[in-house]
Amino acid sequence: MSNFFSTRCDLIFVPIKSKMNKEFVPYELALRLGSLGFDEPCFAYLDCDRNFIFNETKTNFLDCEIKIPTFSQAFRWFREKYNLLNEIVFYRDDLRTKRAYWFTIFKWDEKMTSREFVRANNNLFYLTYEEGELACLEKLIEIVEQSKLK
Amino acid sequence: MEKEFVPYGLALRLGSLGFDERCFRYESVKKICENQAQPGGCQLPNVHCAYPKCTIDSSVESLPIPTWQQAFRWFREKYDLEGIPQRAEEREWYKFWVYELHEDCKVMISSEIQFTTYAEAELACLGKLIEIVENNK
Repeated sequence: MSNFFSTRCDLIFVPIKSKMNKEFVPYELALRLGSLGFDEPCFAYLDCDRNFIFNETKTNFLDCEIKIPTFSQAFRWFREKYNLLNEIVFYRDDLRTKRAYWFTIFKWDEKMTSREFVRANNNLFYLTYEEGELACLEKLIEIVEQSKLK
Repeated sequence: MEKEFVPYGLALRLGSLGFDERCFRYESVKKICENQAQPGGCQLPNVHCAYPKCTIDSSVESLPIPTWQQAFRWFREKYDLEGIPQRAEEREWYKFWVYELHEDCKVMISSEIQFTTYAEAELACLGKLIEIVENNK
């Protein structure tokens, strides 16, 4: 389990023993994506015992099984379904004088002609791209969750 | 799932640049195969130069086909190059930027606009990243 992910927000990270673990969104976020209606084909899923299974051809899922998308799949889904476009970019942190990342999110109108600045990360910087990516995805989920409550 | 993966042609160029990460998908690549015809009904998966017998061709390689995020991450981590496809502000097209990352700043080294879709901008952006590294080798 990644120390970063576990200490930052207690997310359970998919336990894959390789660099591939960077590709998949953590379990809790996959669960929240599923609750929002994410139902795209995925490379992997968690079975009912929370075992990570690579299987991109599986089409029928039990209620207790959870599809695990990659980050790019999740971001594409927000882009295409909600017109929410995000950027995770390198940003020079003047105070720390070392590399950092931050993210921005824009909500575009239906015709994709004008946009509203939904969220930057309020001067929060992330030391790695992956940390920014995770925070950005959490924020996207939160934005849609809140819009559904209204 | 096809849209998750970079096109074969770009994967081939990435392979030439040394991309060798673990991927979800691999393709067989037939390298030099002189004086031998295509296999005739040979069912073995990695047999390509099969004439006159169905023999394993050691010149066949397995080419990793990365997802988009893997490819962009590779350029960021290996070459300090950041590629960003995005929607152009107040415009009806997409664009991309390529930055060179340094310890204390980043420098834009390429930018193109007027792509119809995000996917087109993403494709062009990755192509530009590959081109930049190819030209620097």
